[in-house]
Amino acid sequence: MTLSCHQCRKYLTAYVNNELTPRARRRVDQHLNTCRECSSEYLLDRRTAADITDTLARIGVPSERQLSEIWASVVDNLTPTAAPVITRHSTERRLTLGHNDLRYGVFALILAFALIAPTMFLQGTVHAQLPDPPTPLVRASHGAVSGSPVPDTLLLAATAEAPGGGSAPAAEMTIAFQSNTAPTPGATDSP
Amino acid sequence: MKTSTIESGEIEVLIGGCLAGEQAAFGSLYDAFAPGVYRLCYSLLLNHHDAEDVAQETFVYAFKNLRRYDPKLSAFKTWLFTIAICRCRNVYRRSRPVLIDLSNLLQHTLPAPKSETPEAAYARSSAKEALEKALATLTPRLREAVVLRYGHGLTYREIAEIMDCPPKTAESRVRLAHDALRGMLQGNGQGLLDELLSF
Repeated sequence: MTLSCHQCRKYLTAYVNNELTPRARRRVDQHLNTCRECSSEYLLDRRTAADITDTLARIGVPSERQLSEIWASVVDNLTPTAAPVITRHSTERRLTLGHNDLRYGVFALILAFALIAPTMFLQGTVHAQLPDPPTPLVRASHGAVSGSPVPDTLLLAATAEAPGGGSAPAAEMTIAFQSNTAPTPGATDSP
Repeated sequence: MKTSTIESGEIEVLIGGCLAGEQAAFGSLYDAFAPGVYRLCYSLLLNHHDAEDVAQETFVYAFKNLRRYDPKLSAFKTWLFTIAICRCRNVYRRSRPVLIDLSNLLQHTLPAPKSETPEAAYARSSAKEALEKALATLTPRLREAVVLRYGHGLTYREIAEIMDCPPKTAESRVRLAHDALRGMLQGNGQGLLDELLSF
């Protein structure tokens, strides 16, 4: 299958840089042999690659003096007995700031943990301070109210079985709710 | 400081020497790789002061963490370039946009070949200046890709390793940077130089 011009141009840089698989390279070769436009594009790309390579090789070539200065700084930083880092340029100041940032970050983490820890460990106390739910009271039809601290289910069962050995029909019963203990501020269940 | 190229076997010997505490081994490693690291830093930062600082930080980090280097995972040059690029990214993240250091550019011109005419010398200097300007307009990722490919001859796979991206991404970054530079360098490159030299 032959390549279209669009596909071929997409591959051209990799073709110039010799980064195509042998199969893809063959396909580009075939297309370039038949397409004059793509062929001239290829020549331009090849020249551009050569230009950039030549020019980049001349950009930023360090002088002996620069290399010696950098080496001296490297040795200063690696010597164990060296004095605190002497700032040559601004980047070292930035490096120092970076260490401070790290310290501040660790401090902030510790502070955050110290703030969160009490709520994590004292959750039981918070629940104990909530008022107890109201307890249902069983009221007989004659109006007597029996308040009992026993749980609701137990109280209901007892009143259903108790009257007259079970033969007498249970009086009309109503359930009223009353809080069994008045909530006192700060009171807890714990002794 | 002499620039030299050394084989991978020699590099491993030197690294072994460094780990054993031999001072000369550190110097040899530095001599072999410092020019390349500095050139990479300058091509990315386009500023001599920042390039010096980053090159220095790169070697300090590399020498302090030499035990972490694993020759089975990557070449020493690739490892050094990865460290350098991380530090370059820190610099241009803090100080955008990249500015061309014209004063340094004028001070550090290479000696012209003896046969070079003033016109050819001008074209050479002009091509260099134009490329620096063009590099400054690229995004950092595209600049890294094109500098690693054309400035240091790395393969797409090595570029991907250094830039921490898939090889296909490295390939497309090189292509995009190549196309952008081609558009910007029309009439300023070696082609013009060749034409002038042919007179």
